[in-house]
Amino acid sequence: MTDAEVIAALKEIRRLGKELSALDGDHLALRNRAIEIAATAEVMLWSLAPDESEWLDGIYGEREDA
Amino acid sequence: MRMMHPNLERLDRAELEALKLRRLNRFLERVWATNPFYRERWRAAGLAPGGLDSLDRIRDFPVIDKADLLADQEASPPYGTRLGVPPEHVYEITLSSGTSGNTQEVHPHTPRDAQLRGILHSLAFWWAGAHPGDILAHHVGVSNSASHGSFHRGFRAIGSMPYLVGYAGFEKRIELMQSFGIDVMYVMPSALNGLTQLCESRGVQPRDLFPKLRSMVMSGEAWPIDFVERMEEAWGAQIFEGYGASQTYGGFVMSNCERGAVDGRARGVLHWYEWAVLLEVLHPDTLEPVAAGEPGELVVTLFEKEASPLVRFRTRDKVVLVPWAECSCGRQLDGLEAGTISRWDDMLKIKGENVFPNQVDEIVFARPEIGEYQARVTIGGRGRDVAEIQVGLSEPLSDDAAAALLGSLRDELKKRVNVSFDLVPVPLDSLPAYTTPDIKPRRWTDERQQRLKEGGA
Repeated sequence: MTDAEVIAALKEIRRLGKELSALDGDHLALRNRAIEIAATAEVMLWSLAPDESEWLDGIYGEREDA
Repeated sequence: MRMMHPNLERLDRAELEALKLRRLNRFLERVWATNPFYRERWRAAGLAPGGLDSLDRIRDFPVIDKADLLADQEASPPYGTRLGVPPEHVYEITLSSGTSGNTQEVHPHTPRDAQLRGILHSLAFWWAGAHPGDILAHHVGVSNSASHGSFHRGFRAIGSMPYLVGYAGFEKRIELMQSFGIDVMYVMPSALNGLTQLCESRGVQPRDLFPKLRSMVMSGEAWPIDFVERMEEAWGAQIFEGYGASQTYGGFVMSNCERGAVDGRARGVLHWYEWAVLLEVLHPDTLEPVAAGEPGELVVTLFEKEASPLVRFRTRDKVVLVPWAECSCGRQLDGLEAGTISRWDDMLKIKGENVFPNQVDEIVFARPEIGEYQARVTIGGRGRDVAEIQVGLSEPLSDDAAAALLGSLRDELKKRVNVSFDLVPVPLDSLPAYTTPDIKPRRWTDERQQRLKEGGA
């Protein structure tokens, strides 16, 4: 894979992780691992192309009682 | 080059400086917007939000230190106003060293921070030659200190299996490591010394017990070149050093490249992970940059941190700057001299002389007959400083040989440190480095204040 392809793949994983980080209700227990997936992809991206890297505050969410 | 992140490690100096400035400005914008701890200080210093046009402009910002962090978290427990993110975004924490809750700084991490500190930390081990599939022995007890998240996640990032042995005494550690065989280990110099002494006291060389071992990564204590050479020979493995603290993402932010801790007969270079940290080496009184080769204080800014960022934090670590071009590895990362990092506040004034413990380490451990030592400074009967060193011999010596050894040590200490020490031979295994091997050893105790309080002088 080229650098560009790896970067595109990681961006997609980060996007999916972010999307799943909004899970709630019956899927609440999956949410934190989705955040971890997004954070892992984000830091992998940082190590390849730091300017593509971003803060993730938006996905951490508010405290919820399960 | 043994590169883990080629896109970062191949950056030339101009590209690196440009990247740092872009990321620093992005970071400062965030801190202005989210962090009252810094905003108030910066406004008081006459600063206003806005991009910096050069990295040097970071020096317009005020420095902070441990006392500022402790006061902040005491006023707004548990994280202080410097947290900068909602408390529920804290994913894990690192506590600084300290013996009671109110002296320990809390360094919280978001999920992104946690991943970042792991990947930064792994770099030291990658450069040291750790491979996927290796068994990596970790010789520090797991706790809320820097050793937990960063080491574990770092080893996993490489694909090495973490093997935790730091909870055990030296004898058990040898047994544990033999049972699996190990490829790489992380160990503090004093523990490495203790393990070596133990093997040798049983008449075996570590290299024969651990034939697979390729490399060892050390941190946390200064060391003499002779010590590293002796350990590399005894263990048949190359030694590397990393530097990190609870204040530096809770993990390493610099380490030796593949050239190692000792390169030829010279000290290696601890290359800064400059893609994530801005480091300054300043004179501790003037806060002006010192020249390469001169000792200065390390001041850190973590410009990729989400929770509790640090901007110009004074570490009190005494370091020596080494420009990137002095290492032949090819990376254009500035660095510090390996093996000489010590604490400004470790300096002792003894009989009017400034004494740095790592100076004494270098003199003592140049003698292979000495396995460990413990130093005590107190006040004697005539109200004068008394400096005593308990010397643990690594092998039995005749009375004449022991007297000759202690005599030469006393003379060299006097010549190089300008202090006369009382030297007392003791059994090696009676010293604290052996009786409490899981704790970072304090080779020096200063009892003078206590003696004065007791009126014992």
